[in-house]
Amino acid sequence: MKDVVKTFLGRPTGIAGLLLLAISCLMAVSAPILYPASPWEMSGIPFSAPGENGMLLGTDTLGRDIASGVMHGARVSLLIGIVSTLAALFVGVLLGCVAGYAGGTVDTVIVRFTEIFQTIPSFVLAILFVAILSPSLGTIIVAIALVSWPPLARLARAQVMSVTQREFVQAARCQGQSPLSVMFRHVLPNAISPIIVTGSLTVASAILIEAALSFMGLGDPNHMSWGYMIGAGRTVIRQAWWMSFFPGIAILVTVVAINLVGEALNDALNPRISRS
Amino acid sequence: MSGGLLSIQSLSLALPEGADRKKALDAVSLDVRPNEIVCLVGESGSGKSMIAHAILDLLPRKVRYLDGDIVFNGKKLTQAPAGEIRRLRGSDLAMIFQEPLTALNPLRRVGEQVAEAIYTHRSDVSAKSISQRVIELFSQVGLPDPAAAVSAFPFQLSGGQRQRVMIAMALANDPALLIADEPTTALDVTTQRQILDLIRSLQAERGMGVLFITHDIGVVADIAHRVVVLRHGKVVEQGTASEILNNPRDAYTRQLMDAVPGRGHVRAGGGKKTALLQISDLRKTFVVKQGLFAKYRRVDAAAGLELSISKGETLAVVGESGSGKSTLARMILRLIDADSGQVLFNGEDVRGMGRVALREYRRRAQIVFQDPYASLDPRLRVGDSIARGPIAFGSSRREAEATARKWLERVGLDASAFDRFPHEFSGGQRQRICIARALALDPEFLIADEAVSALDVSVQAQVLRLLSDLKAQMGLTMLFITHDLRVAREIADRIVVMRNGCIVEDAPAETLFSSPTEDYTRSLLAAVPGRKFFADQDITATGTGIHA
Repeated sequence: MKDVVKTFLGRPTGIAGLLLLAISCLMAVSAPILYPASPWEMSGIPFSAPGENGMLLGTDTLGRDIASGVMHGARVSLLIGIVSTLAALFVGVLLGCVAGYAGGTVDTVIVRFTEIFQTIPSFVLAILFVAILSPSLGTIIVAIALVSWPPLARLARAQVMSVTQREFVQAARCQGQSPLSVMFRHVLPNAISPIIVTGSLTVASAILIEAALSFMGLGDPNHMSWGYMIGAGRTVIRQAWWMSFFPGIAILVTVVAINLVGEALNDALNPRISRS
Repeated sequence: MSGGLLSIQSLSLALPEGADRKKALDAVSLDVRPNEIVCLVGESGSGKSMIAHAILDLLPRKVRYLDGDIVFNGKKLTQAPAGEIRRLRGSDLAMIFQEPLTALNPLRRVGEQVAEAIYTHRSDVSAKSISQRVIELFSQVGLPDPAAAVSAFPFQLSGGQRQRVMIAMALANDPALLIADEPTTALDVTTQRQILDLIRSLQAERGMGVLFITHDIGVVADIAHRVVVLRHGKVVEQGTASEILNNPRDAYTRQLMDAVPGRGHVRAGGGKKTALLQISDLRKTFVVKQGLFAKYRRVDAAAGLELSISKGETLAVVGESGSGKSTLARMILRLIDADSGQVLFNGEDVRGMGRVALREYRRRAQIVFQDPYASLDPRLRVGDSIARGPIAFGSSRREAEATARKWLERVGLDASAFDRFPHEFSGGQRQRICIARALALDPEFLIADEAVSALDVSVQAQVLRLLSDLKAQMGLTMLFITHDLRVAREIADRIVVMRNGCIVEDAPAETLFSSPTEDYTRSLLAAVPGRKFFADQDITATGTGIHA
């Protein structure tokens, strides 16, 4: 464990990612303290540029504070990104492992089931799901998880299949270890690193899907999100760049941070790298 | 030295800090003259591949050049401009690598790859004459049906055939010097024999100089004109083959020669005992389909095997790759399910065992795999790998860890090895760990599937000794699978020769070596490297003459 932390902290990219992610989290946590008022409230003159009329990052077309929106938006984006990815990971890795380890008919059935989801354009599916069930945080998370798990399941299956054929897995079976123990102690730890990296990318894409849904007006109407802000500001982007620029930067920084952390985590979890 | 083709003069290379020694090579000097084979012998880590890589300027980035010269055909290669070396590589200086599977590009036809070697150096030759030349080369290296072989992909060829393609590629531009870096180590004994014969005859035909790198003195005895013995980056001794092999001056050379397996007296089989494992009419057919529209290809891995192993016996199963010997081991342990037939262990039907019975059976029957790099979980401390078995059978964690420590010591490692990860050990050490893992469950029956094939000859000897000591102490019954009759001879009471899923010959070790009844067994015996040399030597040394 100590080695893992040490390697992680030894990577400049890991530290950078962690710092950036910490900034996002800090924004999410401190939003209600720094901006106690609702981000939907019209608190200034519409179309104020950053610094104008006492607005740090300016205001949008209705005079809402961009800075407040970016801070409050962090809560929604991070929550949706992380929770929906965890849900997708849970479903995807579970199905992938079962398919890869069991093989045969079980494998065929699971792969076909996964393919059904893969043949439907994922964003259309997410839109349909949210539109039918009415937009709320819960339905958005379920919709994103629903479209994010198939690639994770395919990846987990391929990884598990290749690791299962390695001799140390056969040796573990010969040691009399139960299938569950072989799976969790030997196969999964050796299969997990690409899954972790892809998982971190999934957090990023979940944030982007949420932004896209909000952009289309399918966000949770009770919560300000980065995607909604970009969507609302897009029509006036040539007159008022700041309305979409700052939430865009926020998405960019968060997504990059998560990718950097995922990469460093991958190195840290590999004893070959962390112990050398 | 006059007339030298390649001359290395007190070459020193530095290893990066933190390596087990400071210098990869320490003032190494050697010469290769035209029309001779110089063998470079040493264990892994002795720096022998470093020399080959230094000549071709293929050194890993972390290795620094310190001192000395490499002179080829009167030209200084050390610190020559990159363009100069590139012109020499693959034309006057060619190399064959150890692993023929990874040395060929898997996505391109082998003929194209050889052709590429030609037109890289000769842009003036027409495409037609190049393809003719490739076919000619393929027939010279003895590939069957050369005209068809050019359009094969590497995966469609066997290991020996791939190595022939590599040789064809190396010879494409008539090199003056051929460097062969353990070209036969990854091959089984009969294929090794064919490749060695091929290299020797091509060398004599073309009058090439050959620098042949190997860890096996048997191979040296077969092909070398001159020998250079390397240890820890230093030349221990060098001279003509007969000088070095007949009167080694250095103790280390002697040690390397003694490590060659299969030279002691054959074990005398014990009297009749009760059978532990009985196999009857065991069958397994693999059906392979290579393309969407390709026909199914059927491979018989076991075509009605009949075999019985007595308690306390060591049975060696010998055969080339593809003979079905590893499948046999896996079917015995039910890692692969047989199609039909019976496997009885102590009278119990293994194929009919339920989950609980199978688990108990697997405790009593253990296996050590071939590849010590693939058979340990890279993410687990080795102690945990060993302790997992006893824990799975109800030992407490503390007991299991104590057992693991005890076994680490018993196989000749330190108990402190417990907390280290597999990549921190050498191949031989890893194989010891695998043995500890198998034996920590206190089995009655041990299968060793090519357990020493991936190891250097000298390490092989140590691991074999360990296995036979432990076998005697624990009263184990052992099934030892190998492609190398020398190794089988070292350890087995009885030997079974397999070919294409059938048992060709089944005889006590003594009988098999003194009077083999089958032609195939005789050809396997004849393929053993260094056979004649060691036979002659042992006659002069001891006066007894039954040797492999």
